[in-house]
Amino acid sequence: MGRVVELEIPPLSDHLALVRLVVESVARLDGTMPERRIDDMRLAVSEGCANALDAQARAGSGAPILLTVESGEGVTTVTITDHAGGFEPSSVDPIPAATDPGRLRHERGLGIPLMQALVDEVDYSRTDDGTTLRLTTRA
Amino acid sequence: MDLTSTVEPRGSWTVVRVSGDLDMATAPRLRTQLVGLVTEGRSHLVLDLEPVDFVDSLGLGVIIGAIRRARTNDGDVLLVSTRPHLHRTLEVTGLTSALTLYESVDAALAAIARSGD
Repeated sequence: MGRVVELEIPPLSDHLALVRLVVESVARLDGTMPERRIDDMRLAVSEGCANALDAQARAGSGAPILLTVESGEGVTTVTITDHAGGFEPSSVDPIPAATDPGRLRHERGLGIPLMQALVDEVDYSRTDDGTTLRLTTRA
Repeated sequence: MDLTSTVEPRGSWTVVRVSGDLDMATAPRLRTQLVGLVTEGRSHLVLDLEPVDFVDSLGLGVIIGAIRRARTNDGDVLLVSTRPHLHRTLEVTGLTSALTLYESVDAALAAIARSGD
């Protein structure tokens, strides 16, 4: 099974560009992922990482965030592990429908529904002191 | 990639051309700039996003906030981009019908001139 790349970043938003660069580069190495799917993965991972940064900032944790990118045989899986003490994904509201007049007021909180729309699988699991988010895309 | 922008008047409109990545790290700067322009009375804005390589949900929030703020001040924001990543992001967030992406600044201004605004 394909290659695994690990990346550890300080919980600072100016490292998101580096995360995106690594994810898209590794996904592209596999050679089977269409550019559109790589764009989708890139956005989903960036959203997931941004949520992890937010969660750690709220929890007051300066611990590094660990990413793994695994790519091979048309499947790319990214995990993002934070140390923010855990989180309940079912507490997040869905995006209002496009026809909802409130839609243009919805400036924040788009991250999780966006990830669910962009990749094939979004899965959260608890760790000792935080959460691991797993995003899977198939070519 | 870092975010940079240039501001240039075009008749009664102000064209803001943005380059780089519009994400959690850079979106607050663009928000401040756009709020500043509307506060100065420049509420007819063309946001040229053609050189923008990436937009996340916070970046999208800044764009949506700018549109709302401009419209509240009797203005509007016209968006320019032909880039697939941005079209895709609007599609998955259900915003395609709410927001028009023009293919160039000229096309945006021509469309507005035709509509008699």
